[in-house]
This record gives sequence, structure tokens and C-alpha cells, in this order.
Amino acid sequence: MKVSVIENVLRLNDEIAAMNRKVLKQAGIFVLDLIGAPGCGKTALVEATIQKLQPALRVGVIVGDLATQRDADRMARWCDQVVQINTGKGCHLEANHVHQALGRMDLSRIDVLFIENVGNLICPVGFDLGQDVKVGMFSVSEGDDKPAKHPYLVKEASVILLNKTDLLPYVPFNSEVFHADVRRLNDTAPVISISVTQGKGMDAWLAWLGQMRSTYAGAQGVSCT
Amino acid sequence: MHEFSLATAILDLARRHVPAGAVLRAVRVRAGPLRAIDPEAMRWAWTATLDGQPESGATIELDLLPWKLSCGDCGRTWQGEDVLAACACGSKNVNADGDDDLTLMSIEAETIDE
Repeated sequence: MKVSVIENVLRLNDEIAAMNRKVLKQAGIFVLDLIGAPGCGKTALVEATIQKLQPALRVGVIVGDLATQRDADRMARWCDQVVQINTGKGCHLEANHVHQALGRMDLSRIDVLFIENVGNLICPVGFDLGQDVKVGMFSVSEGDDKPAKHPYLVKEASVILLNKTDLLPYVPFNSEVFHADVRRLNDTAPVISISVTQGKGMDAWLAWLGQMRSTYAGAQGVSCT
Repeated sequence: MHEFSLATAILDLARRHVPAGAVLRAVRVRAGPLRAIDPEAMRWAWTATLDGQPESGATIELDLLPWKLSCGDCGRTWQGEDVLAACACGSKNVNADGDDDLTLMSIEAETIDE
């Protein structure tokens, strides 16, 4: 027998994501889903951002990895609201992971929540977690063709970060190609060039973050720098 | 291999629509281009997901939607798989439109003889 269904395959995930979004919105928390390849500098970016934001803004972190507590241990040096999620064989975070993590956090002590997704440019993009914005992160050592090869992330991201720009003299990377491909896929998201280890571009990133936080969390007059 | 997690989600949803006393034999899924589904990888992931399950052997049919492309210079519109394709007129000013639709369209189930 044939049964007509016509139902969103990820409906359950989307429903849990909507619950997360409601809880986080009520708590006044601005939430970023950070998506990028392994080694592009996601953890280093969050560490550096925490140090810039605190104590004016209190940061929480949910960090997803297939295994180990290492990233959470790194973050815990800078803030106390950190939850590590080990996905085992899962290549991305799903809304239920975040839902469980939120149950282990004191939301009254968080203004900005980073969800550092599993290092992966494809799978995490398709799963709503309840975030306000998706941050797409690339690094110059990955090559200039990554936006063209991963259009889903570029199209969905509210901002594109290009990290490790201090390595530009040493790696083959055509900035024009990178920027042109990003623009063809997404003509609204700002592209911010940074070097987390050198502290370059961080002011532009923090300014964007502060602006978005005002938009989403309704914060008034809070400086991020 | 995001196809694996999608295969699991498809199976979970399909099972909820199988009538009592029947077993799943086929699913039909529609996906937008943003989902970046590779059909070979999807079929392999589907087969592997069903391995050892009562539904083992059920087939998956995919309707993969193309990008809707439109040239910002000559106005031509067409459909294709390459999101960064140039227009036949030579222009690279091409807008690609496509969504992340992922819909279970139908299932087929077979009544099990007791």
C-alpha cells in the first residue's frame, strides 16, 4: 500500500529548536551557532572573544566534538558556563543536544551563548538549534575554493569570518576568488578578515557581534569592546 | 556524510506512518539543493541504516530539486546543479535560488502475513 505523507523530515528537530529559541529569548541571551572546518580556529575565536566581552557581558559556551573534553577545558579557563557535548559518531549538533546542554547551564548567568558546532562545513548547517545567527568560519589555509564548495553554509550564514590572515604570505590563497564566490552566494552577510592569534580584525568582529546582539536580544547601549 | 543523519531521520519519520501489521518497503523524499545530497551516498547511507532492521531492503527514491538560476545581465533563467554556473552570455552575475526543503513525500508499506 502507498501512503502519502508530505511531512518535513526534520520536524522533530525543528520543534525542539523552537523550544530552545523560546527559552533563550526569554532569558535575553544572544545565541551564535559557530560553524567551520576542523582547525579553522573556532575554539581560539571563542576564547579570544570571551576575554574581550567579559566582564561586561557574560559568555556561555556549548561545544560539540566527536570526542574529548579538551575544548571545554580550554573554555573553562575563561568562563564557568561551559558544557561539552560528545556526539560520538555524530558529525553535527542537533537541537536535542542543545536542549540537554541548556538544562545543565545557569541561563541567568549568560548574556551571549556560543554554540561551537562539530568541525564540519556541511552537516551542521541543516539542523536548526535555536540560534539567532549562524557564523560561517573559514581560514586561509583551507584554500580559497571552500565557499564555492560549501554553498549551504555561505547562504545561511549571517556573517562570514576568514581567519588566519596572518598566513596569507605563506599559503596559496586568492582573496578575490574567495570574496567573489561568497558575494555570489550571499550578498548581504559581511565578510570579516581576522587573525585570532594576532588579534587582527577582532574589533570588526566584536562590533558586528554587539550590533547583532542589540538586534536580537534587544540590548541597549552595551559596548562589546 | 550528512546523508547518514538524514537517513536516520527519514526512517524515524517513515516508521510513524507505517500502519500496524505492515512493514516499510519504500520511501520517496524530496530535497532542495541546499541540502547538498549526493544520491549515491544517500542510497548507501539508507541501505546501511536499514541493515539488521525489519525494514532492510526498503528502497529510497529521491527527487532532488535543482538550483533556479537567473542572469542579472541578460535576464535568462534556467535550472542546474552548479550553484556558481556562469550564464551562456558569459556573465557571472548569476543569482542562484534554492531552498533547504527536505520532505518525506510518501511511503510504501506491505502487510505482513501472520
